[in-house]
Amino acid sequence: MTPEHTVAQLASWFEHRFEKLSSLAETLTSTVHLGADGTLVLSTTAQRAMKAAATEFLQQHSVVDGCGIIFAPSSLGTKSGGLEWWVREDESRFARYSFGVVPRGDRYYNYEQHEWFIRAFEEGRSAAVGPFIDYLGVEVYIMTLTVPAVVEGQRVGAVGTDLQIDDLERALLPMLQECNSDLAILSRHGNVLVSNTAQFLPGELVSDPLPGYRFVSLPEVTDGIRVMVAD
Amino acid sequence: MDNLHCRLRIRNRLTLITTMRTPMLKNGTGHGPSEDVPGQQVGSIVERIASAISVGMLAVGERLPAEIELAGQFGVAVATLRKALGSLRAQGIVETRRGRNGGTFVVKAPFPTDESLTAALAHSSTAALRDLADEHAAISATAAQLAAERIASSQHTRLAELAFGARETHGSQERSRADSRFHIEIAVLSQSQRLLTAEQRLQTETAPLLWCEAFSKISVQDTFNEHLALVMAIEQSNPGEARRLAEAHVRGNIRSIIEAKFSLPDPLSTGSTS
Repeated sequence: MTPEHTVAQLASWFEHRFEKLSSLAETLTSTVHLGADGTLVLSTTAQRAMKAAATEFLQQHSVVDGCGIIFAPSSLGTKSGGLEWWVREDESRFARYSFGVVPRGDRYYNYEQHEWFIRAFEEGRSAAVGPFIDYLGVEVYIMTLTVPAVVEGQRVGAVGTDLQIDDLERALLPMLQECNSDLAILSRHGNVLVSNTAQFLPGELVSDPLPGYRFVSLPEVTDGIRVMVAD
Repeated sequence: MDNLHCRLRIRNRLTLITTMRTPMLKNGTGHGPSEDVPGQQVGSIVERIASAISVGMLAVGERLPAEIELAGQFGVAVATLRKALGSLRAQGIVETRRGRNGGTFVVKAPFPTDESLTAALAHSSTAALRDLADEHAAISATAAQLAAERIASSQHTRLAELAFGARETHGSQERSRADSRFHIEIAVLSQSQRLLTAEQRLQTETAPLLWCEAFSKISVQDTFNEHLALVMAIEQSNPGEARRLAEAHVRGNIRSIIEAKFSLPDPLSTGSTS
């Protein structure tokens, strides 16, 4: 298979991930509304509806390790953060994940400083961040995809999915191995996500194309993901 | 394979922990759930696990064996063990996480008292401390080098903020925690989970000794300067310099711990403190 063909396959794979993420965002945000003071109202009914949507999503998308909605403390009207997040335990069992959301707490997960949150919530765009070790979060090596969470026209946080790097490789390596040349999928910053050659390993940084290689960008929605292809 | 090796290691140490006798259990057999008052059993399990963590037999970042296995090791009912874990969780010493990589993890070592730190320092030979420096230098230097190699210039890091934050802390415990947090972030940025686990364990071992107000001679300002130089090397993508600075920092720290040992009133005391 030619590199052009593989790049096209990768583009549609990532686009598909973002389409599914956007529809998850619509479902999750439709369960909540804004109160008279402009802050979010999170009823137990809403939480139940979110749980149903999130677990159904995990059931349908085996490559996804966790998904949910992350609220900006400002939209909750609190100092503490708030996340409704579910993770996969196996193919059919899912569990709510709790994080340290109290500032100055021992294990405070300060997600407001994470790039995946800033880009979706503050900049209002889709984001693909990683690979990174989610220390104090889910504590695994992941890539996170996010889109803004919008309620009644107001941005209130982010909706996201986590992909474990191991699972991403399992999903994409067959596609990459069908290609007749060496290639590596790089994040916006240039860190390798998956590649079909031992020359470029996950996490390693490739800022510029190496001699004999060129960069090909994936669609805008992927937030700068690009593929380095051997000529 | 790594997991298996790790679990075996933990099991061997658990055998030690479960067979350590605490005064509370002296009169009981310690076997069979019905022999002791359950409340006492819970207390003694909490105490034994907590003390195993505080002496480094179980390290921060490690996963405890499954509840059933652990209950078997202690010879108690699963319900009793769950109560003990609940108490450790409430103290912030362990954390139970869901998901495929879930389980109960050690997340914090109970902070040792000045007395026990002094005793530990008197107990540790200079050869053992030098060996600690050797391992710590290997881990931290590689983590710093990889962080410098793998961070893009376009990427924002929290290193400088953590270094400034650490300078503003007070007291042994707070200083030790903030210093560790800075070094753990470097390991996070190295993108290596194994190095991160190792760094967490080494921080638990060294940071309390480094910042113990009873004997520490370390300077907050010098530490801050060294941290900042390290941040610059990492953020300016200078792996060789990051490696060199991280190694010098670790070796300097442990040298200061050894100097503190020499200036103890009784540097070879076997610790008759309790």
